Amino acid sequence: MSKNLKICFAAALMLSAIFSTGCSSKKENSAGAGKQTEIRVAYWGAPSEKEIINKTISNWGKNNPGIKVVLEHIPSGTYTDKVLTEIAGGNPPDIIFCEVNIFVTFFYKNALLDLTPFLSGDKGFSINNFFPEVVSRFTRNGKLFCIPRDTAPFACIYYNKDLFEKSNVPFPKDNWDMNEFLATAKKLTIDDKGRHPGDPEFNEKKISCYGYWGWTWHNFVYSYGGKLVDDIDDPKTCLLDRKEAVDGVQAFVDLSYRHFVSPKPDALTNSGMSINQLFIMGRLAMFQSGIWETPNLRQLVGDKFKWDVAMFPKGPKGKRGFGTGGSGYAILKTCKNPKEAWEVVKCLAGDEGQEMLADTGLAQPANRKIAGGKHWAGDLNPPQNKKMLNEAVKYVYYEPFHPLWREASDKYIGPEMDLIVHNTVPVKEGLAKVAVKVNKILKQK
Amino acid sequence: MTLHQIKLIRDMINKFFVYLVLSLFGISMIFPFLWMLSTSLKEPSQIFTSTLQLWPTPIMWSNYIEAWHAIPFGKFYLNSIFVAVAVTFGQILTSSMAAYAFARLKFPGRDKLFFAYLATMMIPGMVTLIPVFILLKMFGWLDTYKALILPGIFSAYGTFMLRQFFMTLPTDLEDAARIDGCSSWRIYWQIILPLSKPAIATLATFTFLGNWQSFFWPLIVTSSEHMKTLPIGLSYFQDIYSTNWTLLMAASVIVLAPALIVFILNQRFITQGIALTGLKG
Amino acid sequence: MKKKLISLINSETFIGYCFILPNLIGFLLFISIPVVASLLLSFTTWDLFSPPKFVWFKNFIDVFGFHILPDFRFSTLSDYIIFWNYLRPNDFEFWYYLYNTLFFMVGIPLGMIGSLFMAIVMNRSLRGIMFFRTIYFLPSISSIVAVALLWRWIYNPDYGLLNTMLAYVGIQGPAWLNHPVWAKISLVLMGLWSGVGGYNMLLYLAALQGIPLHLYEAAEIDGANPWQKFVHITIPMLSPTTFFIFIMSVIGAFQGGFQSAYLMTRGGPGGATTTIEYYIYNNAFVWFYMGKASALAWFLFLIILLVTMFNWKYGGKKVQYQYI
Repeated sequence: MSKNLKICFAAALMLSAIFSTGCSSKKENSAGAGKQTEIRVAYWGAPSEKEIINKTISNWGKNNPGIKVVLEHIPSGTYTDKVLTEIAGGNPPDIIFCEVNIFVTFFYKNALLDLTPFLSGDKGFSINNFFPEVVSRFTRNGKLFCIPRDTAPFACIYYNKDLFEKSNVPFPKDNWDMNEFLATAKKLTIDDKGRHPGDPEFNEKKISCYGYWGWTWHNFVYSYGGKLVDDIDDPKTCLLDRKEAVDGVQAFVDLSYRHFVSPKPDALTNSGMSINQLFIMGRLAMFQSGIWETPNLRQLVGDKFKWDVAMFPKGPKGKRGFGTGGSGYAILKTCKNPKEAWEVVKCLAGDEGQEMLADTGLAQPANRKIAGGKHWAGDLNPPQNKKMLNEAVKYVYYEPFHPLWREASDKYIGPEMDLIVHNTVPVKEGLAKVAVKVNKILKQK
Repeated sequence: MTLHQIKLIRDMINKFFVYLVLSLFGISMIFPFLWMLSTSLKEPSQIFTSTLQLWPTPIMWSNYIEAWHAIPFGKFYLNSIFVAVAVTFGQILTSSMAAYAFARLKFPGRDKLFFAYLATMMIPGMVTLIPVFILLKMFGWLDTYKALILPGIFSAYGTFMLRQFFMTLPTDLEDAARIDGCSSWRIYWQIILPLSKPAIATLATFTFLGNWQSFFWPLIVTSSEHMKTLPIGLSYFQDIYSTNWTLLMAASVIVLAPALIVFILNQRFITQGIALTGLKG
Repeated sequence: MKKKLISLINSETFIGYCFILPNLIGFLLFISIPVVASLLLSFTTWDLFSPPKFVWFKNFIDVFGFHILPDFRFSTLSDYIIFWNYLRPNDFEFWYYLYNTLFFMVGIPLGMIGSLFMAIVMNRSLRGIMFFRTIYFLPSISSIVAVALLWRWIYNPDYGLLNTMLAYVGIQGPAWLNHPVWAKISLVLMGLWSGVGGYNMLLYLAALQGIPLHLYEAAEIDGANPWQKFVHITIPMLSPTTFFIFIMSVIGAFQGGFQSAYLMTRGGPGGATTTIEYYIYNNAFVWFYMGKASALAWFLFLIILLVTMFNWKYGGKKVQYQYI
C-alpha cells in the first residue's frame, strides 16, 4: 500500500468525522432561536429580483420582529421541480411565487389557500389597485387565491430606431395594423445587395438584415379573430381548426416563408439568445416579446443604437389580442400560520417591491397605480414607450383554465406547431390534427 | 540509408501526422472554453458583434471581481470542495471494498447481489428522487451536509467499474500471498489497491467531477444559502428572462478551474504505469 | 461452539459480506428503498399533492397497451385480417420517443471506437500529450451553454461551418436541427465530439495501463505487426472495460438524451429528439403523473434488464479477464 493512498483514506475518515460533528452542532444553534414564527417563501428570479425581495423583506422585518421570513431562492428552470418535491415530500414552503399558468395546476390540486377572508378583513390593502384582468386570472368562483406581482403581455415589438432612420421608415405607432406592420418589415429587410423582399432578384438566402422576428403565434391567432378554445375559463372545444385561427397562423408562417421578412426557424433553432444576438448586432430591426427583455437589452445594447417598444399590431379587422405571462404570491393550504403568511404576502406584493421592480424594467407592476406612476409610465429609461403596456393589458388572453391544458400544450400543440412553423406541415392540416387531439384531452377533465 | 534511419524518418512523419490531426480537432475542442474565457473578459455590449471576436477589448478583469462578489462564492466554494472530496473518498472506499468482494471472493448470493446492484442503475433517478427526499426528511437530514454527501457515497456505478478492473489483475500475486498466510484484508489493502491506481484515479476523477458539476441534487436537498454549492450559484446568473453573460462566464471559469486541476493531477495517476513485475520483490 | 465461530469469521462468505457491508448498507437505504418505492408507485396514481391511489395495472395499460378503434366490427373471418389496421397504441407518443431513444444508440459503438482510438493515441509518450489530453477532455467540463453555442453555429443551415464545408464539395447540406432524422444525427454527432476525449477515453486509458508490456514484447519477438498486436493483445485485454462501457452506455442511453436535446432542439422538431427520459420527466414533474412516470421507468427497466442480461450472457463470454 502506498503512503499516499493511506494518507488519503485517513483524510477521508477525518473528514467524515468533521462533518458529522459539524452538523449536530448546527442543530443546537437553530433550536435556540426564540419564539419567532417562521414563514418560508419559495421564489425564483434574476439576481436583481432577488435583491429587491431581500431588501423589501429586511426593511419590513424591522417592523415585524415576530415573523422570521426564510427566503428560498430557486433557479427558475428548476423551480417547479423543487417546489413539487418539497410538497410531495412533506416539506412544503408556506408561500410560493406562482406563475399564471402553473397557478391553474395548483388551483386544481386544491393546494392554495383562499385569500378572500384576509382581503375583506384588511383595510390597509386594496385589491382594486391591481389591474382587474390580472386579478380575474387568479380568481375562481369569487375567491382570490394569489396576489399578483406583475403582468407580462407578449405585446412588445422592440425596434432598433437607428435602422428605421437609416432606411427612412417612420417609427411604428401603437395603433398600427397588420398591413402597415408587414410593409414596414419588408422595407427593413435587406439582402446583401441592398434589395428588399418583392424587389426583382431579391436573394432570400443572403439576407443581411431581417425586418422582424417573433416567437408567439398566439398573437396572430387572436389578432385575426381566432381563439385557442371556446371559453378560456371553462374550455370544452379547441378552436384552433377554425378559419380565423388558421389565417392567423398562416400569416405567422408567411412572414418567414412567403414574405421573407423573418428568419426561418431553421436558422435560429428555438433559442432566445440568437434573437437577442441578431438584434444587438443590428441585423434585426424588430422583434416581438414581453417586456422582460429590457434589462438584458439595456445592458447589451449599451449606446450602440437607440431602441424602443411599440404595441403589437392590430389584426386586419382592427382586432387586438396578446398572450400573456405574469406572476403573483400564493399561500399553500398546508401553511400553519396563515395570518403571518398573509402579512408577508402583502409585503412581497407591496408598493416598495413593485416600484423597485419597475425600475429594473424587468416586469410591469400588477399594481396599476405604480404602473401608471413615475417608476413605469413616467420613467425615461429605454424603452420609453413601455407605458403602452398599461393599455395592452386590456387585450390579453390567458391560456385556457383547464387542469390538462399544460399536457395538451406540451404533448400535442407544441410538437405539431413546431412542424407547422417549419413549414413542413400545411397550417390547416396541422391545426386540424391539433384540434382533434386537444378536444379529446379537454373532455377528460 | 540504413534501416534505422528509415525507421527514424517514418517515426517522425508518423508523429507529425499525429500532432496535425490532434491539433486540428483540438481547436474545436478548446473553442467553447476559449469562448467562455473571452466572454468572461468582455464588456456586456461586446459579446455579440457581427464578426466573431475572441480577443476582448478592453479586457475587463473587473468581471471576475464582480462575479466573485455577486454570490457568496467563498462559502459555496468550500461547500463544493468539501462535498466533492468527501463523496469521492467515501465512494472509493466503499466501492473498492465491495468491488473486491465481487471480483475475488466466492460466497453464496454474490452474483445475485451484484446483479441487483446493476439492476438499480436501470431505474431512472427521476422517479426515485421523491422517495429519497422523503427518507432524508425522515432522518431530519434535509439541508445538511449529510444529505449532500451520504447518498452519493454508495454507488453501483463505481462498484461495477472497479470490479471490472479488479477482475483483470493477475491472480498469481494473490495466490502467492495467500500461501504466505495473508488475509483477504491485507490482499485488498496491499495488493489490489496499489495495483489499481489507474482505475481508482479514474473513478476519483469521475466522482469528483460528477459532484463538482452536480446541480439538481444539491438544489433539491438544500434550502439555506450557506448549504448551497457552486453549480447552484452559477444558476443565479442565468434566468429565463435575462442572462448576465459576462458574469456567468467569469463565474464559470472560476468554477471550472479546480475541475481542470483535478483532471490534470489525476491523469498522471491514471497513466502511471504499474510495474507488475517489480512488486514481487 | 468457539471453533464454529472462528471458522465462520474466517470463512470467505463472512469476509465477503464484510467487504460489501459498508456499501450494502447505503445501497439498501438510499438505493433499494427508493427503487422499491417507485415500483409501488407505478401501480398507483399520484399527483404529488393528494395521497397515491392504488389502480393495479392502469398506468401500464395506459402507456404500453393497445386499443381497437371503435368503428371496427367483427363479423366475418376476413375482418380478422384487417383487425390489425384498427389496432392503435394507447400512447402513441411513448412509442415515438422510444424509437428516438433507440435511434440515439447508434452513437454508442461509434463513440466507443472513437474513445478507444483516442485512448491509444493519448497513451503514447509524445511531448505535450498531457496538454492534448486536457484539451480533449475540456468539452466534458466546459460550460454546456458554450458547447451548445458552438454547435448551433456549426449546424446553422445558411452560414454554419458544416454546410459551408459541404458547399465547397458541391453538396447542399440539410437543415440539420430541423429535420426529424437529421436532428437526431446532429445530436449523435455532437455527443461523439464531446465524448471522444471524455470519460470513456479515460476508462480505456486506465485499462491500457494494466496490459503487461511483456505481452507486447513477446509478440514482437514472434514477429507480430502493430495491427496484429492490437487485435490479439490490446482488444482482448481491454474487453472487461469495453464490456463495462458498453453496458453502462446502453443503460445511460435508455435514460438519457434530455440535456443535449433540451439545449439544442427543445426536443423538436415535432418531438423528433424527445427521448423517454424527457417523457418521464414531463409526466412526473410537469403533468403530475408520478404513477405513470414510475410505470414508464419500470417498463424501461424491463427493457434494459433484458438487453443487459443478453449482453451479459453473450457478451460476457467473450470478455477475457485474465491473460494466460
